[in-house]
Amino acid sequence: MKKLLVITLLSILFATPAFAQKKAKNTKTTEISIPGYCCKGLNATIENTLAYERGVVEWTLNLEKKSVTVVYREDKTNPSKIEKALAANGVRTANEKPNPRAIEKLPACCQPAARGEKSCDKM
Amino acid sequence: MLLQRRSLLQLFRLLLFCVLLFSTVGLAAQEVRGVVLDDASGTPLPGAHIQWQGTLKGTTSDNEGRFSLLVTDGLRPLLVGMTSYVTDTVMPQEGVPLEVRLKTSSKKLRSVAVRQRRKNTVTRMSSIAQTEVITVEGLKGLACCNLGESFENSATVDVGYSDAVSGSKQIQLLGLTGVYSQMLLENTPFLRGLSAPFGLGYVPGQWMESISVSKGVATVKNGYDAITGTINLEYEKPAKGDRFSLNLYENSDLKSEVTAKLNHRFNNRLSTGLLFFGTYNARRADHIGHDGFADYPLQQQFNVVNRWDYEAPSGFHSQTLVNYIHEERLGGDMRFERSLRGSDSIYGFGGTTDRLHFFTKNGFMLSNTASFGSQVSGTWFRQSAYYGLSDYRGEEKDLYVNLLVNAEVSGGHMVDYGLSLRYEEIDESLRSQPYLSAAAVTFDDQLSMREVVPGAFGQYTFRYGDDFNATAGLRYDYNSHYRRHLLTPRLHFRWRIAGRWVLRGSGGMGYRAPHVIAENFGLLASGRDLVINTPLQMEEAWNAGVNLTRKIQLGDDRELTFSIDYFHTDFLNQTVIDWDQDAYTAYIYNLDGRSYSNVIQADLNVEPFVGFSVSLAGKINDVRCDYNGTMLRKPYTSYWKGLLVLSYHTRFEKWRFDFTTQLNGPQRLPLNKGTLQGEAPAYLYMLGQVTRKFKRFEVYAGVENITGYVQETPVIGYDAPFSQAFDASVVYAPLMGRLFYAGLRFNIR
Repeated sequence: MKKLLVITLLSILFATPAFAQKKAKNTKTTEISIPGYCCKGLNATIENTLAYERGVVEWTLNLEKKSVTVVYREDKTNPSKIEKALAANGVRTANEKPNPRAIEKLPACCQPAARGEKSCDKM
Repeated sequence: MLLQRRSLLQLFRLLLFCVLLFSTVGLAAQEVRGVVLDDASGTPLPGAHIQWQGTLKGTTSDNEGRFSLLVTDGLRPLLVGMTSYVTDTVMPQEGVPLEVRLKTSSKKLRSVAVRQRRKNTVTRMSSIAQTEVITVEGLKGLACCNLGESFENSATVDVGYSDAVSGSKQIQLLGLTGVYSQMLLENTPFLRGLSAPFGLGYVPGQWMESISVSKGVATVKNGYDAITGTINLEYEKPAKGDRFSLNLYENSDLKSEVTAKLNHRFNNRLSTGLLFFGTYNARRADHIGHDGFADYPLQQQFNVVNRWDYEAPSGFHSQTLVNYIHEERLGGDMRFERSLRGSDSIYGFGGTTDRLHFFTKNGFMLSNTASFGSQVSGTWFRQSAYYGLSDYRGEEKDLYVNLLVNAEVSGGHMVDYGLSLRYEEIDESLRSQPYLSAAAVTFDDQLSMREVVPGAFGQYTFRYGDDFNATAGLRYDYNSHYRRHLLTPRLHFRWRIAGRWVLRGSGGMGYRAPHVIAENFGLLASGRDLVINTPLQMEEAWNAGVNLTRKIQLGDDRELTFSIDYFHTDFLNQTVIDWDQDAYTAYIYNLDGRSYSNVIQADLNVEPFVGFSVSLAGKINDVRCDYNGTMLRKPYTSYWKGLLVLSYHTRFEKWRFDFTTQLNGPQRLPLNKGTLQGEAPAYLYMLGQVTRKFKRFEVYAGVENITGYVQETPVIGYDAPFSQAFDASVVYAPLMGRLFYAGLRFNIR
């Protein structure tokens, strides 16, 4: 009985679809503008969001350009979904307003810009 | 000439700056400056955010980790944080540049920096004492259903069962039972008196944000009772916590647990949280011993907390928490049912507990350099339990008021002083009939008490730069029950000897009122006669200890920490439970002779590569007491303990693996009626867990007691539970075999 339970549990745990995705054929690249990307402090939030986002294959952070370049699988996601995911974690993008509660968890440097109060240059 | 004047001016400015920077006299400064460093490596942290607590005003550290911030609303605590680091609260001082060391939010941390005031408005407290902090991340690596199971990765705290029928766990700190340490909930007294014995089960692991364990005497602020150490619990704060989180747990013995947390913010100032916990275990099993006795009792618990936090920009901070618990346990013989209570043919254990607890803490700034805080807490507790034919009932009401002032005098030195009052009423009654032919004995007068304890305290913190600080405190209390004037001196120091070597020390006196039955329920789970001939006096002890910590940098962001400490406790009076005169009686009396504990512990924490951490610890306990003229080791205290904790996580913590091995040394058994006499053998205890994190939820699965080592005969004389031969109080090994569990965590930010 116990053994059966363990086997079932382990198989549930390990049988989740492979998340270590390889660059598949139908990938696209998009550059998402993040106006509130004022400092390195936001890196972790962006990376932690993208790491758990379905269909995201890889990304490059561009602090100078205040954007992130995302390679994604067309059949699984689209830029709008990715922007929504970032916004849910407090990141303001060109098209999405961030979740106010999540903004509080951002580094102080990025909060005013995420709220849309100031742009980064006026900090 | 002009040039000269300009350079003079510059020189003057430079001088002024130096004075500002190094001055020990509090010069008025309009800004606070400082540097944020990684606590482990000492490297500057760019991009850390610094914010005045309760405001939105803040800044970020530059490339060298430096920052400066204008003082606009007076000096108030600063929140310093950064992603993947634990947010810290520091109290800036005028003219003294801050050095804030942030700890990575990994498993187990040791607080080093002592740059902040201990006040009730500060959420996180690092202390002058050597403190081990078990964070929420550390707790996630354990099944960790309640506080009793949260210490499996700690060498400092040992956890054992009180007896083989009630399933209640007790902790040991410095080789002595947990009652000699002080349990605090957000720095207010918690789980005292009658709540102490089952108390570990009243704190669900998922509610906690962190657990700090400090060895040795505490400062004088929270009473005279912390002798061997302090365990401070921090529950999740409604302003910071997720809007909703849920944890579901199920184990292979069909024990189910549900934890739910709801947080709501009304605005920037007011927030509330609702914490709920329920456990249900509807099946008894008899895997070990095959003695007809359930391995653990049937258990039902309902536990709820509601808390309110208010924080005004003026610095006023108020926190109020109310907690209610209802718990029922039923154990003993597998055939036992609630209706069979009092039966003299089928042995049963039952317990019902109701507990209502609240605290309210309010603090505000009196001036730029002084703050006032008040703590009020109260408990109503009722427990009724029976072990076979013995009946126990306990009721406790207590109210505690503590008023504290913290003020900075020149040069960063600090004074704290305050007044406290405790009212405590304990009504206990015990009708003891350990076996059928014994005459029932009632103990009521010896157990019940009513005490009023007014007290006053003061302490001074001396600071010499960042290298040395020391706190000397004294408190005076009067205990109306024992009619005693109690003087409690306490001393702590921290000295950074050189580079990354830190030496800490503490010493002081402590007292406590014994509640001998509630603290030793094992006494009731046995066919021993109970003999209490003398009135039990207050327990009294002094404790002193030293700790040496060394950190070594390994590469960029990894480090090695080594620490070794030695603590000595010496009792002037102790309530001695003497199991060793004969196997049929337990004598309880005041200490006559010596009783002491010597504990040496060494810890090594290292991160060999990013994502993988190893912690290795070893401990030697030498705990002895005079039993009726013979010096013997304290029973059920292992002579030594070894611990190895391995933890690995992949990038972004998608996968996480935790594995713990404990090697528990031999322990002395008291004289008993079983086959194993003298010494219980050393044993290995292992547990492991795998956690997989997804976008919105986490699943975990693990195994407890992997080796499956259990005590062969947990219940001595199980075939004659109503005779003198019966004894379920001899517990020296796990009472739960290999156990599989799995669970799910879900949250909405």
